[in-house]
Parts: sequence; C-alpha cells; structure tokens
Amino acid sequence: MKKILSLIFVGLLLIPAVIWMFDPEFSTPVNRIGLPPPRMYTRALVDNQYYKAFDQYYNDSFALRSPLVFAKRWVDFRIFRMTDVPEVHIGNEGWLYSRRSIEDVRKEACGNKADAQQIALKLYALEKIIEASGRRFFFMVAPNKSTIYPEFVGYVPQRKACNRSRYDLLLESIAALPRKNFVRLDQLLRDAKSSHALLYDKAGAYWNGLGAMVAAEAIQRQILEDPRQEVVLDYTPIATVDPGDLNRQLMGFKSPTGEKPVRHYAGTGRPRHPFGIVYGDNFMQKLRPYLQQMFNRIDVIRADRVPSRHHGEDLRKYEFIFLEKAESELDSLDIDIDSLLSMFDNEVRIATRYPFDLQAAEAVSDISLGLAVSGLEIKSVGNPSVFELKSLPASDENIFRLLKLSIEAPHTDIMTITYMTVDPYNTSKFLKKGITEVYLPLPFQNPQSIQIQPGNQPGVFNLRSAEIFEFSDNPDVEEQHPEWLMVAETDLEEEIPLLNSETESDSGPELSYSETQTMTFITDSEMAVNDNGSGQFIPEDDQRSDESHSSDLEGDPQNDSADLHAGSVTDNSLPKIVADHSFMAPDKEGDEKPSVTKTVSIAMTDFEDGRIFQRNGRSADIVVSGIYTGKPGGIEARVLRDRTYDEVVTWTVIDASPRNGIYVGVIPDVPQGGWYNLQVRSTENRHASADGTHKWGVGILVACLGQSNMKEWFYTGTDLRSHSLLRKFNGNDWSKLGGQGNGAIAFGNRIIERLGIPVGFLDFSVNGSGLGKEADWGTGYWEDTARGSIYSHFVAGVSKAGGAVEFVVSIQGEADAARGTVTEEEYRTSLEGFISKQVRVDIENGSHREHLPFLVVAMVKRPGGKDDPHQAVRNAQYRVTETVPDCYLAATTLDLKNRGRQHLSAGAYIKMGHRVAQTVLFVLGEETYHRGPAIAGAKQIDARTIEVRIEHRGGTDFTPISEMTGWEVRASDTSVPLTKVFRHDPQTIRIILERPLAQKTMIRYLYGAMPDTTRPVVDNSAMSLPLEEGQSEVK
Amino acid sequence: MVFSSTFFLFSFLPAVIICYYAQRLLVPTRLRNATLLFFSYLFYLYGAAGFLLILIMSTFADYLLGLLIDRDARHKKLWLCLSVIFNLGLLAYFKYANFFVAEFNSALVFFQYFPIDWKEVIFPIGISFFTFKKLSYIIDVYRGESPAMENIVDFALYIAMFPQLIAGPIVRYSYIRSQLKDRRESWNNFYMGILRFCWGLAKKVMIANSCGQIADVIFNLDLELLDTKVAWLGAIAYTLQIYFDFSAYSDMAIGLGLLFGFKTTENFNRPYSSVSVTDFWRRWHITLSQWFRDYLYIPLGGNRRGILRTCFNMAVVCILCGFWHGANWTFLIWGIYHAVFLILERVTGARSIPLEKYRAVRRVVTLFIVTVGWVIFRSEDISQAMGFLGTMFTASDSTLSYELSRALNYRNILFLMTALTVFFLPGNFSGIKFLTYKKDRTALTAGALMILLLLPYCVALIAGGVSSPFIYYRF
Repeated sequence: MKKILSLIFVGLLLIPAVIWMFDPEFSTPVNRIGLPPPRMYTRALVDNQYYKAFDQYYNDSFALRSPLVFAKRWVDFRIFRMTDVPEVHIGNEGWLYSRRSIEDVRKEACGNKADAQQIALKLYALEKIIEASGRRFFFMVAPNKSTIYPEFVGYVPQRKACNRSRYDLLLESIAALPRKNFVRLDQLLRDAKSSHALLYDKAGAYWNGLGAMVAAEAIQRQILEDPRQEVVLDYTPIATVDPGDLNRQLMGFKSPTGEKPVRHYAGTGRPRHPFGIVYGDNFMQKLRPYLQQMFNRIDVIRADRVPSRHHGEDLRKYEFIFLEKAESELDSLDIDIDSLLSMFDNEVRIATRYPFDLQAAEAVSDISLGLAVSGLEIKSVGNPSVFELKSLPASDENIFRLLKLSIEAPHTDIMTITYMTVDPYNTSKFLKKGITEVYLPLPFQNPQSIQIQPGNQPGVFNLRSAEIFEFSDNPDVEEQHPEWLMVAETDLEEEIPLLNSETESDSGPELSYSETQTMTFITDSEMAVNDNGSGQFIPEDDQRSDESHSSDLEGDPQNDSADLHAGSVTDNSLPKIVADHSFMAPDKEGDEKPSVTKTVSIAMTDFEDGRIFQRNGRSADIVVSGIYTGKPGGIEARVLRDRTYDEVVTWTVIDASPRNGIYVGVIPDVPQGGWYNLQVRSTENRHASADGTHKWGVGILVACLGQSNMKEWFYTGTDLRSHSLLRKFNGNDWSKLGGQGNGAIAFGNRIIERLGIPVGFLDFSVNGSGLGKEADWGTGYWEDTARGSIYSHFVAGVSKAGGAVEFVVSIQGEADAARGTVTEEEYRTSLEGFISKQVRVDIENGSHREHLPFLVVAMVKRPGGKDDPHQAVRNAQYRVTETVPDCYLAATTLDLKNRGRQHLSAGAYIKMGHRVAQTVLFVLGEETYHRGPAIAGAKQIDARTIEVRIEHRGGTDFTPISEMTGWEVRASDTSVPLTKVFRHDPQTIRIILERPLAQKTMIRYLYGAMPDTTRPVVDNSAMSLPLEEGQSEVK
Repeated sequence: MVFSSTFFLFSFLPAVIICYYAQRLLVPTRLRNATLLFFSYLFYLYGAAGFLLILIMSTFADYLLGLLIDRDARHKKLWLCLSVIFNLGLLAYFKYANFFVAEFNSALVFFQYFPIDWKEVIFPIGISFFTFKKLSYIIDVYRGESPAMENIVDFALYIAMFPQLIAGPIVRYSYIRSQLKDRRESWNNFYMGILRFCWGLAKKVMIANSCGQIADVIFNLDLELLDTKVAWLGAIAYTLQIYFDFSAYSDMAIGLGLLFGFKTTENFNRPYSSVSVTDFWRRWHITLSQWFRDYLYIPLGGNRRGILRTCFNMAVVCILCGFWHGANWTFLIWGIYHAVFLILERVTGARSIPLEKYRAVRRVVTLFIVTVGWVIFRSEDISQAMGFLGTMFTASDSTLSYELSRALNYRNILFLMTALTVFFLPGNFSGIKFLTYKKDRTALTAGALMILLLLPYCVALIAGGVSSPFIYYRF
C-alpha cells in the first residue's frame, strides 16, 4: 500500500510533464492573456530576476493550471463564500457585486470633486447645445447594484471623513446647475425594491428585466411632454440559463458582450414617437426593449464618448439623444463638445455671441504675447509657457456660456487649459497643425479665468479669436456685459445660427483696438528707473521709437534684468504681462541680477540628445527657442554637423523681434540626415551666442503600437548591432538600441542602410493590450481615448516627439483573439475606426502619401485557443489593408518560428523586421514589391487532384518542391486527407487527395491559430517571402 | 526556489527523484551524492543565481580548512580562527553591512557630516543557515568530535543539500556524517517522506498562508486604523503564521530528506505548549537553539560560573540569536526581550518548577509572552512595534478596514481556527506522528487522503494564488 501511494505521489507530480510531452499546448491560456516567457540571454543565468520571471511564467502556464485554478475558485466560492478574483466582491447570501461598484459603497470619492464638477458642467453644456439645436436630451445614471441592494453587500467600511461616492458628488454638482433633463433612478429603484421583486440578479452586475422596466417607466414619464401619450410597457421576462456575468468572472471566464457596439432597432413606428439615439453601456442590454416601445426608431451605441469617435453617428438625424452611464463608470464618461458643435454646425441657435477681448490675455510664465492683425501671437517655449485669459464671464442660472477659441498651431500638439475656480481643474485639447476650434464651457463661479499652456513643443501659436456664446432658456433675460466686451454684441432678441468656422476665421476677429497694437513689457529695473516716486510708471519714449517694425505702443523687453516681473503697460486699458524666468540658468557669476548696462546673454533650449525630427519631403523646419537677457536685436541660428562642425545650414534669422525675454523661430529646410548640432546668437552682438551640445537629426519617425510581439521587437535577441543613426523614444528619452531587439534593429538598420538618414522608433506598445474594450485584460485597449488610457499616452508621446510621424506600425491582435468570441467584422470595424478616426486624426501625417501610412503586421501564430477567432483577426487585418487607403500589410508571420506560446524566436524577429522594412521601402518607392505570392485560384484536374494557381509578386518560383505543409482541403466542413502536395510548375501546386471529391470543395492554406508551417511555401525573391495564407473554392 | 511552488513540485522534484533513483539503479551508491549535489546547486542557482559561486567557493575553502585542522594539529587553532573569521566575515558583510552603514550614516548626518556613499549589498538567501552548518563542521573537527571529510562531494552536499539549504534545520555535521556515506533508501522511508512533505505543504499553503493574509493586512494598516481587537488578532495571526510557516518548512525539509534516505533532526516540538520561556526555546527552532548552546553558550561558560555569569551568557546568546534573524533593531530587542524572561526564570527558579505543575496557567502566560515577542519581531521598526503594542494594551475601537474585511473570509477564518488548536492540544500530541508511525488502516487511509485530496487542493491554492515564500527565507 505504501508503495502504491508512493508511486501515486510521483505519478501526480509527473502529470503536468506527461501532458506537456504529449500536448505542449494543453494549458495555453484561452480567454485570458498568459504571461510571456522571460527573455533568455547569456547573463540571465546569473540574474535572479530571470528566475523569478520564469517561476511566474511556469506557474501561469503549467499543464494543469486551468483545471486546478477552476477547482480552487469553485471551492473558494461554493464552500468558503470568498474569492481571490479582484474584480468580484462576494456579499451576503451569495450576492455578487462588481468590485468597482464597491469602491462607490465606500464613499471615499471626495478627491474627485473637481472631476464631478467638470462632468456636470459638460453634461449641462451637452444639454444646452442639443436643445439649442432643436433636439431633446436626457441623461441618466444607472445605479450600482450595491446602491440599490446595500443590505447584501456585507461589511464594507466607509470613511466617515468623506462619506461621498462619485455619484453623490455628481448629484451635488448637478444640483448646483439649473439642469432639468436628468433622470434620477436610485430612489425610484429603491422604492420599487420594496415590492420584493428582484431588480438585479444575485450573480449579475447589471439590472435585470424588471429593474430595467422600472427605469424605463421613469424615463417615459420624464421624456413624454404629454402624459396622455404614456403607454403601458410590456414586460416579457426572458428565460435564461445565464449564470450571471459576475459568476463567470468568478470562475475565471471573461464575459462575452454579445452585442455589437452599434445597433439599430425598429421602435413603435408611430410618427409622434421620436427617432432617438442612445449612448449606453451594459445596462442598456435589458433596458433597450423598453425604450423601443417609446421611440419610433432607436439606435443604440456602446461608447464612453459622446459623440463617439468610431461609429460615425450623425446626431443631426435624431430628434432625441439619450445618455446612460453606469454609476461605477462615471469616470470614463467623455463628452466632446468640440465635435458636437462641429457636427451641428449651423443648426445650433445661440442667443448671443460676442468676441472676447484678447487684451485680457496675460502672460503667466515663459511666454511672449503680442497682438497682431491675425490675433494674439503666442511664442511658447513648450511646457513651461502659460498665459491666462482673465475676466471671463461666468454662466448663471439664466444664461449658459461657452468660450470658443480659434487657435492656429504650427504643429500638432496638446493644449492644457486650467480653470482657475475654487477647486481648479484642467482639461486638455488636441491641436491640429493649422486652425483648431475649441469650446470651453464656462463654470457657474466668479471670478472667472483660465490658464492655457499652448502646447508641449515650442512654437509660435496664434490665438486668432475668442468668442463667448450664450445659451438662454429665457429670451427676456438681458445680460449686462462689461462695456469692453460689448464690442460686437448681437441683438439678444435675434437668435443667429452658429457661423461656419471657416468664414469666421478668415475674416479675423473684430478688435476694439488698433490692429498693430502690441503689449509693452517692462522690468523691475525699468520700474526703478522710471518710477516717479508716486508708483506711476512713465514709459520711455526713446526705447519705443527704436523699434521700426512696431507701433508706438508695441511692447519691448528692453530689460537688463534676468528676472522679468510683471510690468505695467502704457495704456491703462491693457493688462499687465507677466513673465516668470525662474527656469533660466543663473549667470556664471552666480545668481546676481545683471546690471542695467546693455549686456546680452542668450540661452537655448537644446534638443534632447539623439532626438530625430520627422522630415517633410527631404528636409524639415526646425523650431528653435530659448531665452535671453539684454537687447539681442534679432536671434539667428545655424546647424552644424556633429563632431566635424561643417555648416549644414548657414546663419538664419529665426526671430527678428524677440520679446519678453523669449525667442522662438524656425530654421527652414534643414536637410534630412544627422547628426547635427545647433548654434544661436544675437544678430547685433555676435559674441552673445549659445551652442547646443546635444546631437539631433532629421529623418523618419515610426510610431510603434500594439502588444507584446511589438514589445518583443525591442527586447528579444542580441544578434545585431544597431546603426548609430537609430534611436528609440518612449515618451521621455531618445535612447540607443545598442544590441538588443532583433526586430527593431533589423528594421531600422535596413532603412538606414538604404536611405542613409536617421530612423526613430516611438515605442508605445503595451503588453497584453487589446484593440476593443472587450479585449481589455487589465492593461488597456487601444480604442479607449479617455484620459490616462494607453492611446492617450501614445498620442501624448508622439506629440512630445513633434506630433508627426512617417509610418505607424502595429503588431496586435492576440489579446482580441484570446477573447475567443471576436468576429472578423468586429475586429475589422474596430481596426478601421482606429486607423481612420483615431490615429490619422490625432497624429500628423509626416509622409508624402495622402494619408498617414499604417502598416499592419499580421498576427503571429498562437498555439492553442480556438482557430476561428485567430483566423477572424487575421482575415480582418488582411481586409483592412485592402480597403483602407495607405494601409499596408507590413509582414506575414505564420511561417516564422515561435518561441514560447505567442512570441517569436529571436531569429524570427529579424525576418519580421526585414519584411516590415521592405514594406516601408516599397511605400517610399525604393522597392518594387513587399508581399509574397498569393493563391490565385484552384481547380479540380481529376477526381483526386486539385491544382492551385500561385500569383507571384517579387519572385518567380517557389520551394519546397514537395511535402509542403499547411494545406487543407475541406468538403462539407470536414477535412479530406491529403496524399501529396507538390510543385507542378513555378505557378502551380498540385494536391493529391486520398479519396475522390464529390461535394463542393474549398482549399485553404495556413488556417487557424497554429497551422503547420514546418515546410511552408516560400518564393525565390531576395526576401524569400512566404505564400500568403488564403482560401479558394475549387472550381 | 520555494518548496510550495509549482515549478518545484512539478519539475524540480520529479526530476531529482527520477535522476536520483535512476542512477541508483545503474551505479548503486556511487553517484547518488553527486546527483543530489548537482540538483542542490541548481536549486540554489534558481533562488540566488548571483551567489552560487560564493557558496561553492566558501564550501571549498572550508573543506580545505577542515582538512588542515584535521591534519595540522600544531596550527589547528589558526585554521579554526581563519575559518571562523572567514565565515562570520561573509555573514557580516552580506547580512549586516547595510544595517551598520545605514546606522553610521544616520549618526554622521546627525552630527552634520556627509554620509558615506554605499551601494546596498544584496543578501544571499540561506547564508545564515549554511554558514552555521560550516561552522558546526569546522568546530566539530577542531574539537576532534568528528574527522574531517575526505570526499569533497560529500562535504559540499552536507553544506548545500537542497532540502535544508535555505532555512534549515541546521543539521550538525556529527549527526549526518554517517548518513552521507552510508544511508539506506527504502519504500517505507520514501512513503514517510511523502507524508511529511505533504503535511508540511498543507500547513504552509493552507494554514500559514491564511494566517499570513490576515497578519499582513493588519501589520500593514496605519496605526490610526488599528484598534485593540484588531491588534490582538494580528498578533495571534502572526504567532500562528510564523509557527506554521517555519515548522511547515522543516516538515517539508525532513520529508524531502527522507525521500533520499536522510533522517534529519527535528526542529520543532509543539513550542506553543511550552510552560516557560526556557521550555519554549527547547521546543522552538531546536537546531538553532542547540547550535547556540553548544557553540556559544557552553564555550562562554554556560551555567558553571555563577549566576551572574550565567545570566550574562544567556543575554549574549539571546541577543546574538535575535540578531541572527536579521539586521534590524526589532530583532535585537526581541532577543533582549527573551533574554529578560530567561534570566528571570533562572533567577526566580521558575524554570525548575515541575512541568506538570500549574501547567495550564503557565502555558497561557508563556504564550502571552511569546505572542508579545512576535509583535516586536514582526514589526518593521521600533516605532511600529511600540505603536502596535500600545494599541494592544489600551482599549480602542474602530471600524474594520475593507482590506481586513476581505482577508477575514470563511476560508482564512476556518484555517485560523484550525491553527488555533495548537494553543490547546496536549503538549505531546503530534499529527504527523499519527500519520507516520501508526501502522494501521486508519493511518494509511489518512495518508491516502492526504496524497489524493490535500495535495491537489494545495497545488490548486498555489496555482491560483500569489506566491508566498517562507518567512525564514529572509533570515
């Protein structure tokens, strides 16, 4: 007996190894993202971290993991009523709650007050704009299950000091606004609960049919203008065996969403019922059938953003716009007022609009402002530069106000606006190259001011106009505006449509002062010199007259002080300009302020070492900025070649009239190449100069996004040395690749060898990231545009690198395929939307193509999992490259060797890198082909022979001659055994079958998650490209 | 590598068992120690990759020094000193250098001097244990209690044998010398080893980890969120965790030794049944206590030089024992704390009271003293210890934190309650003895259940949970 038990023990220990020997993919993660195996390198053998990572990987992927974990979770829940699954909270009597909602039960959200106010304000703006367009809008928050059934939550301690949830804060913020279109459900559902009917199922996170009906009745009461129209909603309980989404999560399975992101439903068809659109989440699944009974027709969109970016809904088509948001997901609500106003265009009837006087702009730090014909010229040195718009009117209970800014940016960038309210909060706006219009709702608090940081990059921006839009419910209310604001006020009684922005910006804003007027800046020292003892400043006429290019009111930083402070202005109606030079380096002598004598010193904002600027054609315009003291006259700059100091671009005046201690200008047409150094100097005192010490170049920037196989590009393999012109940017530093990362180095080196110019990778890949929300495994998904998302991090990173790139390369899809339920259509729609409505909108096209080239690397082999979702993802990727302009299949990968589960071997990454480089060269016109042969068709030669025609691209023939793998012949959805697959001639492959064919037959090559590619078909081109996967009907 | 990890259970352990017994079948006894040594070094490489060379080199040095002591009688004291300095030097550098430099820097800063620029030394796991084993060998050879080991493989295996390498028991050279050369593997030993290993695994994965979850949450709470009941719960949970964690490791180490024919000294004997602190140290970490007794306390004079010297000797031993656990003031204070009670018991004669007298009361008092001691031991620093103890002994009441409410689930409570039985069971009760020594059908059935049910459940807990290394791994 002891022997038997001993053998059983050893046998148990050997089970995983035995399973692994017979089926290495037995425990491949399905419906979850597995940990990648740690990278092996020579020093890893003595690296503790390697073994730790390996231990975690082993524990995550050993053969018995899935059944054991399932058993453990079952025991935990069924026996101990507990779980280690962080997403689920187990309450009393088997009630399950989403963990996220428990955060709301704890009522610890007081730190989010500013966010709640911002959401409330944006909702109010949404309501006003939609109503001003003649449509109706309603908003509701679907209460958490824990809000309605707190008695089953179990013990959840609350922090008494705060005692507010996000919902509480939102209600408070909403209550402070004169809102009328908010459907409040929490109290109604609590009342309905007293009837002892369950409104939420025990194992579900969202309300059931009954709960949804209560909500629907409340909605109906609120939206129907005439109570006589009210109808009795039909309740039809849905028989279901669904164990509940939380139960599935508890056992380790991801909940299938089951519904498409955009759905169109027929409604009552009655003309008096409106045609509506609903933005909602998973609560909508049960609510929608009731809403259908209230609307003529209804479209439902699953999106966190209104209007959504992907689905292309045209809100002008709808009479009724309804927004539903789950209480626990209030944080993710994103209202895009700019898009909304653009969409409604001239349909929004506003009561009043008038220009906001740009004289109210004041410099806050490191910025130069000057009024010119075209508006307010803003010279910004990047992040430290901030200016303020003061004396903005607030919204009030009668009038809601929006501030519209029309800003011209020299490049794409991200503008940050801070509302200086009691609890200051900020928001950011994406600026395109050229003119961007942004709309800022003005809060209900006085006094109003906003601080604006124009962008992350230095440049000369132009605030072409600022306007106040007023929306009023009551046309009798006449608001008193400050006299200086009333310049172009329209008749309040006459409602005018929102003008087309193009025509408006062309004409420029109406200004109440001379168009040549600029502001004057003075320094402490000047204050001291000119102070007449009474504190009143007397301007120095002689200094003003020195400036031939400016008017007699034009500002001039004729300062000899390194510490510029607020100055007063010659005209009392003009505001002060403040400049904070705290970031300036101290003088060599120390921190002493320079004397009043006219010494000039110049400091330059040097570029990050190794930075690469995106070329525009064969050169680039480089923005140079910095600070100065004294009177430099103009500032000129030149470009030298690094180390040799050969002049690449000769001295060029970049800023003829710097102001306020800041200069910003452009060196045009710096030729592509590198490395370079920069020099700047004063045009009047050439000894006053600054030399850049960092090297930089002009070349090709490639944005890299996707998941782990893109990440592995930069880490797996040490077989190559990177070219000295190759760099990587991760949002902070431009670093060398050294010898690590076969894929990236192979790709970059090949481009550099062919073109001889620097190549920079902007690496923003994220391990395990999905494309769609359903493929969010905890590390984010790319369709998410909310603040803090991986996508916004990507956009911000590209913006830091200049905002423009020449190519985007994506290696993604595994996380979506791991869901197991993804369809080709879903992934294709998502990818198309991602390319055309996100990437190409937010990233500047630095290429010569009409659209920013987007290169898709087809998803790699992924052992295990279901074949269909993998094939669906790859099919979708292929289709997108065919339908979306300037989107290219960068590489096929199925023939490449795997390492571990879903990553490639070091050598395979080199091949992949070369293939992507080939595609880039093809797009640039340097190569004639980039794709391998494809299946052109198949026909039956005789009962047992099929002939497959091959269409070549780069090659003329292929190998191997026989015993090719990866082929499948399917008749009536079953595989037909193959006897032989061999090369017939350079354009033909013949497949001999074991049995004669009778039914309709398909052939397919490399299908599914892990097709057999031990002997793939490869052409004889220089790139040895594989025959692309495909299928064809046998004629 | 942790015994309670899937890699150890499903890869390392089957591999070492198969290789060991495969070579036994092919070349009886000749390569069995070499096989174990190879796997022991692999084991160490996996856990402390950067320090394997140090282990090998220091083993080689002590092997040579042992031979010199044995063969060069004239200079054996010199070789002994060399070895002691070498071993304690390594230990001091790797384990205590960071602490002393940090304290010295604090003093420098206090007196407004610039601190020393110091790159933190990484602590090689197991160094406290294998250093003591090497010292035990060298001293035994010096004393002539055992001859020096001729075979370097045997010696290296004694130092590095993977079951005891990381956290003991600190097996004395004299105890294991004969087994290294001549031991007999048998099915009975193998089966006993399996049961002992599974018993330890269950104690670790089910009980120690459950108690640990509760203790960790409580000791990580801000002091203002702590109240009296929670503080006591934390103290008790940690008291149970450290016992079940360390004794589980010892059980597994003993079990693994049995798989390969080694019989290893016991390390625990129901310490929470102790009737005095003196008794506690006879039952807790027995091999360490005995090491200090034989190689420090007795050479210092033991109890033969009067009561004052005896008390001094006890204080030295306790302080060093505390400091052995780690370079932190809390360990030092914990050592002093125990020294105070040991001295009190000796001075008052309490240690001489017969075991059976006032047993229940004395058990409660001893448990109380030990529990309070563990609070000092577990705290990150003195201020946390003082704050925690202050909360334990002053009445306060506050709401449970959310994290603690999650940790206090039925599973953890059930295993905590199960663990609590060690406070009440008779002092001579042993579950593992029942399983391994009772030759009847019940024991076999229990053994079968342990292998067929408990083992899979433990593995499921490991696979589905977060890796939790043994507490004594960091000592």
